[in-house]
Amino acid sequence: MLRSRGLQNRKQELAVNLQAGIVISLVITVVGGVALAVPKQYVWIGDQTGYSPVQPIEFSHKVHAKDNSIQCEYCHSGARNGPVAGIPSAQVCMNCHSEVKKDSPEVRKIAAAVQNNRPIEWVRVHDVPDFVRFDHSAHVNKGVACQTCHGPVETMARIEQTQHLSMGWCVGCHREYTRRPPKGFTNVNASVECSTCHF
Amino acid sequence: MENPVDKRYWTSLEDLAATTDASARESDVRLVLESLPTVDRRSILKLLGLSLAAGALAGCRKPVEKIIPYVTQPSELTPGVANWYATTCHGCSAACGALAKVMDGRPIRLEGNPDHLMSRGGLCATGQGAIISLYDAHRQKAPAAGGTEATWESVDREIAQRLAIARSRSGRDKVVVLTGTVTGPASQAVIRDFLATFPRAEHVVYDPVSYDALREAHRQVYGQPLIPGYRFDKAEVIISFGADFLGTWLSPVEFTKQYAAGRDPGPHPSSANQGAGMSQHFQLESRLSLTGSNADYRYAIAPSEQAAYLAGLVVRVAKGLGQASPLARAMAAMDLPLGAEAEKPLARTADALLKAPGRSLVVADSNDVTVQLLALALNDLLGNVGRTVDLGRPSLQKQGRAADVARLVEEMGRGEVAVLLIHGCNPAYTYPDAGAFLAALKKVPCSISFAISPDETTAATHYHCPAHHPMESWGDAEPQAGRFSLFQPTIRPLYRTRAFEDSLLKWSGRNVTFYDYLKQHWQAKIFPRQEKVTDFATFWDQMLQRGFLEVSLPAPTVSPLKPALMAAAVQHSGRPGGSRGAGLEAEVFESLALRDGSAANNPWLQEVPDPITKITWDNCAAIAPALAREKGIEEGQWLEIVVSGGSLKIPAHIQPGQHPRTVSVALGYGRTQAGPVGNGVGVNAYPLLSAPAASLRGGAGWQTARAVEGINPVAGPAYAFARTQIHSSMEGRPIVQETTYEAYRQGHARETHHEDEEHANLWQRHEYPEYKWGMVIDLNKCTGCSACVTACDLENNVPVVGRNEVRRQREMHWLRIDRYFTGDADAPEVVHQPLPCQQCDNASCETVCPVLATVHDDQGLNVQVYNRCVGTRYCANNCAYKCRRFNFFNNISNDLTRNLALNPDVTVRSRGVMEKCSFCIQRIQAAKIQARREGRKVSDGEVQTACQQSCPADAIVFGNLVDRRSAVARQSVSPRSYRVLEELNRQPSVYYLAKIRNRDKKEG
Repeated sequence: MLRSRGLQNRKQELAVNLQAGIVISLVITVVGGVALAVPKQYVWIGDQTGYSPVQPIEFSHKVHAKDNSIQCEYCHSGARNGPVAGIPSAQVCMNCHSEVKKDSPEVRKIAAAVQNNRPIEWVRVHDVPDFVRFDHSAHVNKGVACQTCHGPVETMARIEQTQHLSMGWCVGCHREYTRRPPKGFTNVNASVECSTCHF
Repeated sequence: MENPVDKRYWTSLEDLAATTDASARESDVRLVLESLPTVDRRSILKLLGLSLAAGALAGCRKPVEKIIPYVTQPSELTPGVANWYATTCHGCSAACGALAKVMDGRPIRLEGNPDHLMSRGGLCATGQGAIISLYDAHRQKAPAAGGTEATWESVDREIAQRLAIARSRSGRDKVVVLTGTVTGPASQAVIRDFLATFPRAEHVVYDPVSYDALREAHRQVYGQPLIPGYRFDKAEVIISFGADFLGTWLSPVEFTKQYAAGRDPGPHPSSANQGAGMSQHFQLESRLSLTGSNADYRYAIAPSEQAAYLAGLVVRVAKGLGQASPLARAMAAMDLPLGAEAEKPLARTADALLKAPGRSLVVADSNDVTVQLLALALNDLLGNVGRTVDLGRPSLQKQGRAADVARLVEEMGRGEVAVLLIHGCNPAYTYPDAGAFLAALKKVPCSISFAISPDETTAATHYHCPAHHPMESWGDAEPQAGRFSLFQPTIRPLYRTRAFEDSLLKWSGRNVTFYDYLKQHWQAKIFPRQEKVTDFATFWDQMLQRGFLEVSLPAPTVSPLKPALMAAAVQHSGRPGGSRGAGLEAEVFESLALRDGSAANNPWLQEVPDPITKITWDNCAAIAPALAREKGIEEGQWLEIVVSGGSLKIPAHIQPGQHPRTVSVALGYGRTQAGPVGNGVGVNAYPLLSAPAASLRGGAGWQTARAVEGINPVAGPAYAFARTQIHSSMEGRPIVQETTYEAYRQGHARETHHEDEEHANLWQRHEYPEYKWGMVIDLNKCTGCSACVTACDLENNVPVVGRNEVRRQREMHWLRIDRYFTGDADAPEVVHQPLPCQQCDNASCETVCPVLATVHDDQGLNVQVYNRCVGTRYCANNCAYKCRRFNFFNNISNDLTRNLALNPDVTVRSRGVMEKCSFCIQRIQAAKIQARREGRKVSDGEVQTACQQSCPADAIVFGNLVDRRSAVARQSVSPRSYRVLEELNRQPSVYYLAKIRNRDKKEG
């Protein structure tokens, strides 16, 4: 094909190739540099431990779950009955906050959400990829504590991911619990088949 | 019993000829090569470098995701857990019971309601696919006036003015409501109330494929224009003249349930108790229909011969019964224009009928009153009326009268109609002479359409007042007398639409919502007709919960048939059949998935292969191999079908089993204003519906068959149909097994027995501690109706790929139905075989995957792990059953509205990933979690796969093979049970039960 073209064409092509080569090597250098420069926890692709984004409302699990001993499932009521634990609707917050700390600026934000019928947009912290099916009810009903996967939430002023939530981490637990069931667990048989989570 | 080696199954004529196999494959390779993009090596390298960089950067951080909880969460809702609502299917007027699966506030599936008396859990492909139209981005999103978007206030104001004029001008202006069949009592009442406010008004019912002759025959004989209820389950002998009652005729799901119940051959003779016996089914038809493909005996007759054949049967049956009825005498005196070839079918059919008086059923699809009268006469002679023909619970479907519609068009043309309201029909597309309708419509000063989506009719009306989708609105139905069902909304209206009934109520000046009206109507009219519940609140709650009500009816008041009256009627309506010549005839029929064409913009239904031709995304002119030879017509060649007053250009498909003097074309295609998906797909065959004025006046509707003046091949390149079958051939191995009923009763259950053979095994046996999921598919019950295909598509987020990709054999259906022919090409026997992934124990796919993306799990499944798959396609190449599908593209659309219908329990696959049937593992896992939560094992029948749930024939059984008492385990050891390609020792978990034909051993 090249033979049929003129010299002019070939020259142009060489110039274009040279440009492309420079661009590619530049890109590789930059990417490599960035990869070396970023902090260690980001090098493992997909590892989100330490992720603690700012939330639209400064909600403290410490105040609620520890200081006031509110049960996790009071707010995350789906955990026992379905795959999703759920984020409480603003109305659930107002069950108490219509009386408690009404004047706090953060609580006012919730009250405003209810009043304007505009839902609060929380930033998701604990997440698994879309090709993973995780079912809360299967774990909660077996007696797995929330903290096993979510860390000591009751000590956190702002929610933070403390566990990897990677496949190796999941499977490690499934194997360990089956092999040596911790106190309170009998007949665990936690499956490590692919089909348990991937479908 | 034929030897399996001698009995040759073939999938298409190319396969039968067996000469074009290699060339066909070559052309397939060429197609694949042509489809590859033409990019040079350097561009690929450049792109590679860039995507590497982008991938590395993006991989460092996952994107920020939001969680947006409700402000006030509805109490009945748990996130991620589906709610089910009992409602009614809106796919056609049969109004089967349906359960809507609502996930986080949006309906994602319609399934059959197992408690429903008629459909009993089944739901056809059209009904299940109908949910896609809810999320069709092409829907009309707001009212429109003169083609431009308007507000409801302005539209209401303008229409109210028009209506006020019509009310005041004392009878000079006529107001007409033109609808498809409306069976809902409350909806009917709304229309009645609305029309009652005008001095001159009429409700005209229009069914594109009308059943006038069936009603007219009953009117002439019984004095009531009704369509009786049919009981195929009580019939030991079923004779159908062209009626595709398993596919599209009247109430196919109900009839398939009944039919399948009668096709159980009973226990094998080795067992002690014997069943009632299996029905025998004769089909006399011109095209090879779905129903005909299931018949024990099928005879190809031309539509014009139906009357003569029926008359011949009447004579023989009357003689056999020893009745010298005036009718039989009248028939016998007639010179029936039948040749010698009619002798055998008539003798055999009459013999069968005479063995089952009172336990047989004769149905016909013709819109010729004579044919329907004769069918009625036969049923009456045999004493079937009151047994298999139920006049006490007539069907209320198909109330359209062609004569009324023709008269309306005339009135419109004369300018007599001032306001025309069109709902639930699309006459600008379906009317046989659409041009005449549109011309008449121009003379109407105010026309209003209520169509959900823009269509051919809305393009020509002044106002478009879009109705809600049926899943967004309340409604009711009474498809059979005394059998009511309720529609309840399962989602808030997505757009600025308003229910048709709400519009009428508003324009009647009544300040009431249709919901309140409906409830009041039911309280006043329907609640008192039942006795079980005494207070209305409870009754209403129960209705919402069950979705269905049956009330007892008084015994039918129809008088017994008078033979003299009958004979007079037949004689009056003319000589049976008229002349039987060598002339060609054209026949049109409703297509299986698209029906009358209203679902044409639904890509899932477009991609359901026709059960016989296996053509997707097109209709065709089906002609017999003999006719093709005679005229030198090739597959795909364009034909010009010339009829009086017009012609139709359409590509030919050479169809084994087609009557040699007929050409058949499916309706529902060739839409011009259906939307981006349906426009220009196939050819519009409605102009072939013939409408002789005399027959309309005589009470018959539009004839689906007519004489053809010529079928002329058009020179030019052949059209390439997108067919799913040519490349799914099993290469001549006996993968379908069958026997005759007679042989079965003598202990011969099927042909080959491979499972006893010793096989060397490379694999270690798998251990199944608790579950091994398996499936049994009864080939004797499966009709090939394709409901399972759609069920699987929608349950598992299976994408559609479009016509060109199907041509390249890249359709994604996880469950395909293979159709095999056997016998000679002019009168083939047909078998349908649904083929999901066989979930082999010794799975050949698992051993070749280099990345362990497909592995065996401890419940007997071949698991496909999408996130591991790198797309080598080794597994698909090594699969003996060709059940694997590869995503050549990102097939899921970017259409966010349509994606609302995706099932959140199933991963959406991306490009480069292999996928296949998973035995609905999401349902298995959900059931297992539920069972473990309750500290028990999954019980038998607790997990139903989507295909099994929807099957109108109950042909699929699914369950745990480890539990030897489960239904699936018991059936898997049936004498009829076998597995496909058993000699390969793949040890599949899918068992098939051999097909049984209720016919004599020798005779064909």
